[in-house]
Amino acid sequence: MIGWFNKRFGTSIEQRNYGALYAGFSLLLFLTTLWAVYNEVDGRRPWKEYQADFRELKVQVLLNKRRELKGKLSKDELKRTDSLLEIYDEQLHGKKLAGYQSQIDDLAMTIRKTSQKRANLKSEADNRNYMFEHSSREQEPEAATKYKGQRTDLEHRMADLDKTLDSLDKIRAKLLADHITPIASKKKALESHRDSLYGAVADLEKKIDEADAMPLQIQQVMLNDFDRTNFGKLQMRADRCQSCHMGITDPVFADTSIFNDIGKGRHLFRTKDEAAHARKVFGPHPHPEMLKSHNIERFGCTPCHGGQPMSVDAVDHAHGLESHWERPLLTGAYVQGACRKCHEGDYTFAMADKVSEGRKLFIDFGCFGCHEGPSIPDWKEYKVGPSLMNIGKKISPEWAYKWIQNPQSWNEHTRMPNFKLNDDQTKAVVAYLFDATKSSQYAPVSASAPAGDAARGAVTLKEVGCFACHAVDEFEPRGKFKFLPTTDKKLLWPNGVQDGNRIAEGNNFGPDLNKIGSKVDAAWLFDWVKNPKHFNPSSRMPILRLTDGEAADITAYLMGKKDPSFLASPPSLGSLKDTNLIKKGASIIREYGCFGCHQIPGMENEGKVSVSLADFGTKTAADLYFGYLGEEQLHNTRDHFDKGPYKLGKVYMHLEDGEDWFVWTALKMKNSRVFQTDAIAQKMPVFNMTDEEAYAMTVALRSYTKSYIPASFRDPLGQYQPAVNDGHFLTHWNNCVGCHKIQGSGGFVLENLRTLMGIKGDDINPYGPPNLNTAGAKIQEPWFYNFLRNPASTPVRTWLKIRMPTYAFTPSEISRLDKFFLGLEGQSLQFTDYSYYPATEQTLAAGQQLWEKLKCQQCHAAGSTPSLGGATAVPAPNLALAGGRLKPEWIIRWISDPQVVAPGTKMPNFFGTLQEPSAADPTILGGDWKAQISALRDYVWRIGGVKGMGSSSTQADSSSMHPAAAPAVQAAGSAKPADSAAKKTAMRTVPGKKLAMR
Amino acid sequence: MHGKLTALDYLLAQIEKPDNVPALLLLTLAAFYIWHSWRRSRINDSRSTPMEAEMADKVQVWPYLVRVEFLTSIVVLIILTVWAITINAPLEEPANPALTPNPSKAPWYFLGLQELLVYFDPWIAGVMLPTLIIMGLIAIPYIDINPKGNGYYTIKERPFAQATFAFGFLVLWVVLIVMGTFFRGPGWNIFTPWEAWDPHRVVPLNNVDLPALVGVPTLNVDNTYNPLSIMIGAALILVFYSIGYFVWKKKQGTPFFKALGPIRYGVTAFLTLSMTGVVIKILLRLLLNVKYVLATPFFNI
Repeated sequence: MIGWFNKRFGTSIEQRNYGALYAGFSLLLFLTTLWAVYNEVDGRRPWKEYQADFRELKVQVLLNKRRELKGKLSKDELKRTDSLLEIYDEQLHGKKLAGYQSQIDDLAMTIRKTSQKRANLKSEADNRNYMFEHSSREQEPEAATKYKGQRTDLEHRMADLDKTLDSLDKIRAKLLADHITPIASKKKALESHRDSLYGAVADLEKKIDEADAMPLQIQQVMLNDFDRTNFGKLQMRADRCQSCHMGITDPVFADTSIFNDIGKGRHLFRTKDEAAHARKVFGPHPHPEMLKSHNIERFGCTPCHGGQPMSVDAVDHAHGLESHWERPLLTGAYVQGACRKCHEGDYTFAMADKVSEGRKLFIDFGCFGCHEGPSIPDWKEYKVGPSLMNIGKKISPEWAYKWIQNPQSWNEHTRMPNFKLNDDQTKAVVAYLFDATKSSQYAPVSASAPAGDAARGAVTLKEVGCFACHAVDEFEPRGKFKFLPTTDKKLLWPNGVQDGNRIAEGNNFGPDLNKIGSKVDAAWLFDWVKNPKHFNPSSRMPILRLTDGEAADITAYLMGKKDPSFLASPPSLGSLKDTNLIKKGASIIREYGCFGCHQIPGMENEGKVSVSLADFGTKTAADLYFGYLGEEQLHNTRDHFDKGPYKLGKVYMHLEDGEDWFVWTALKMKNSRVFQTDAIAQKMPVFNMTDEEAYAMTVALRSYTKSYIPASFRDPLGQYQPAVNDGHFLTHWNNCVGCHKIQGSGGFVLENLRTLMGIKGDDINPYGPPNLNTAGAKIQEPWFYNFLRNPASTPVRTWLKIRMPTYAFTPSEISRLDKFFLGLEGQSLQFTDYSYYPATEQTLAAGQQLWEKLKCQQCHAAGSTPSLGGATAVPAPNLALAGGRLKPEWIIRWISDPQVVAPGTKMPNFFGTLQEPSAADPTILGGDWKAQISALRDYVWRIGGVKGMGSSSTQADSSSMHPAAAPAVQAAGSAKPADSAAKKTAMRTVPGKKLAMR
Repeated sequence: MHGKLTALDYLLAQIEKPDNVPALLLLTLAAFYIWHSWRRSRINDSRSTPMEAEMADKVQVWPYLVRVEFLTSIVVLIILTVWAITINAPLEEPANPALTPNPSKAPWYFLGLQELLVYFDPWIAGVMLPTLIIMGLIAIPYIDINPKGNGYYTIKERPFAQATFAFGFLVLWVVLIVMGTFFRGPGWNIFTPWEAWDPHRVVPLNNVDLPALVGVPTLNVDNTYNPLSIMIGAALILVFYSIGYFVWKKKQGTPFFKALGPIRYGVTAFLTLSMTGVVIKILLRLLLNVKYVLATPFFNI
């Protein structure tokens, strides 16, 4: 090299030869250009390869289907047709017709040539015509005459050619008609016969051709009005995900069994890995039902899944897995966080368990008592912990001391966290609490509890359903913990790693009663079970309307449940009257924000003690502080979660050192003091979360972002959404879902009832609290109000031993609940007169016939007439209540298909199903099922007393039978566009009697 | 499993950053040309006539120069194409008015100027110094009266020009760019290229003004400026610039200074001293934590 340079610079400039250098570098430039072209066309377009693979796979799948279909066809018929077709084919191309064929072909060639000649003449003539017109305009008569002559001459020649063409055509047509067409048309007919034989096969072949011809091109969904830039300007988003994931909505790929076709030879995939990869890339959406409500053409992919919508140049880029892309593909349950972006107030997502869990835990652990967050209840009104206003009259200072110091040592399931206070701090807090409540006026109704029978108490306790909210005896807490092995106990879990959750639902709701005897005294407990509101008016525990005897029995039984070990070595607290100690206690309470969860006397005007979490999900590692934790511990944490079912999300920015949002948050949840350093004290208490809880919290917290989602993409229930969100909170807050199924979830007590009564499956339904599905459409508003004010006033299921307690709801709370149930049905709260509902004598008679025929009375009582009973009978509500309790439209819906309204109900389907309705009896009302259902409703409606006569419009009623087909009727009270029709039907149904307040 | 990231990983990550490629190229090319000119100068300086003088035969621009230029353009095209294919544009996250990237780095060629912002107030680092640089470059042909070195490499015959180039370009310009590119991380704190950028790094912020170093605080207790401090600062700067005067005083008799004349000398001395002053201030900051030499209510130097 150096030699070459020396030699080169040794020769004079004029004598240096540049030929080789130019040739070499020009070649290099050429190759580089080729490289650039390849890079542009192929290298940066890997989706082309995916599309080619997809095309090949699709064609293969369709070919397999075709083979399968063909296998089912009649072979003989096909054979016969095929051989006939062959014969026709041979005839058409055989020697006999060869002469005619060549004649026809020659003619065709002559015709083509002549036509061409004529076309040339035409264009010449057009030109002369133009020249003629032009010359005329230019006042050049001579030229005009010349051109006109030429034009006329050309036109004559064209007319001659036309004649020739005409005759040629005729000859050709005759030849064809005489010799070729008879056979050709037979062939065509046979072919269409063959196609009809094939039918589906022909369709498939069309599809195969289409699939085969699919061009390789970017597939994108444009979201015009979804995005905004960071500067708030509207921005178009183009989701190109389907450029590779082509099978997401392709019906051919909807059947995932094709991905099991693995093996050698005639199989789609050779290895399992290949099939798994194909499924990952080309498979359908794992939740097709999700796409039904979230149309992909409207919502695209990345609003939920994240990723880099426009990028198609590499898999990682498209998935946004690169530094600087802020919204990488969400993995595992983290995609659920996206639900919250649009459905901000929802609690329960049917297809997003983890984010629902995290949202509930955020409430149940009382996070909102210290932190602001999205869609949280008012912390001044709703406090997760019990009120401490009278605490001095309930427990001993020693018990309080031990409890505050380590709540888990009394009850490992408690949601009360450990504040890690030292002995002096704990003592100070106890001193403050007992000092502040020393002037409390509370005293139990009787100074000592009346004597009760513990054995009877045990029975009553279970009969009235205490286990719906409390863990007691064999009814262990719902979501019971499961111990798992851990790598780093000290870091991740001060007391060992556990699985399970403590959402305040079912019997996780109230405290565990198994040691209650060692906590409180009998007089207090008797007063409490009689009326919890006496001791604590804001208690969430309802009144169970126990008699003195029942209360005494239960008290006696519960007081026997003791665990003396907790106070085996009671702390010696000394004097708690020291004012300095009390002051210190007050300052500790203020510092740690105990009033976030408890009502504490003297602390009514404090503010939240910690930071807002409203956009916590957008924080990066740079915003979080990792204290003393090093790479190894952080990696251990990630490994710990990733090994189990709770895989943490990944962050592609700031990946160094293992410091990322997910690890930080998961660790904080598991062990909230873990990032404490000498300089930075941390006051968040240790919640002892299980892995499941910590994971659910990270999912929910990750979704806490401020995003600009346009209203048109949010709140599917429109104007009802706020009321529904509020109701979801209220029914969770009061554990309504512990007993009742609402919107398909809840009803946890049924499991315990099954154990208690030894009844299996759905057979328990008549003996448990009712399913509240469609309650808004079902229950008349006044009845709803009266029932919730005092459930004992109008008992419906009189045979139930488990009690609907008295919640002491305020009228405003009851309207919130009613608005919730109505909102779920797309209705708003309005005053309606249900007392009058018209019917004719004829329909009432038919209704009575049906009532007898269908033996309704086997299960249902009718006023004072008891139910007849029988081997298959189950208890059912007295139908005398129907007229004053149920909405007439709902009864129709119910009778039409009870299983749709309350899945698992014991009420039989007398009129088929919604999809396939049928008459219960062909002889009544001419076998018209619509009229029959309506008549039966009219009859049942009047069992409790005459409700009015008049002409009923069966047409209007029948349309309300099918809510899917006629949503307008369901939304009679709503302001949806389809309302005018609904109003009309409503007016017809109750002429002049509907008192609607709009 | 996660491997522990080593110093080499961090170093490689810095080198692989598309942003840093041009700065690396600058380093390589600067090193090559320095070496090349130094080598040729040494040869020339040891001879009576420079090598270039022996290549007395002149050749025509066409075709002898143009063919080389054209070849060069082909080579540059190849390099640019390969660069464009292999290294992607260094895009970052979409602009966000609520979130400033940390560190916020200028394009590589401005990082030297950005680095100056550490040591000087913006009006000096961002306005005065760049203006001086441009004015100085414009002034060079008018203040340089040394006819030697035209068309050949030499150090011996142009010691002042060579020293100024080495100091002004290599020390001030290149080193500052390297500093800003490879040695500054989050919070514009100093990081070596082989360590992780810890956004939480805390560095002591205990810079003091130069007069305070010798016990004269900048501010009085009532937060007014201490006149003594201002006087010391001003005096120091005056003394520094008066070096030019003393040199003139001593050397004005020599033929070279006579030929130069007082105006050309004045401009040269001012520019040279200002350039040196910048480096002195940088060293004062880095070694002695000096915030300002002169702090007044109106401006700070």
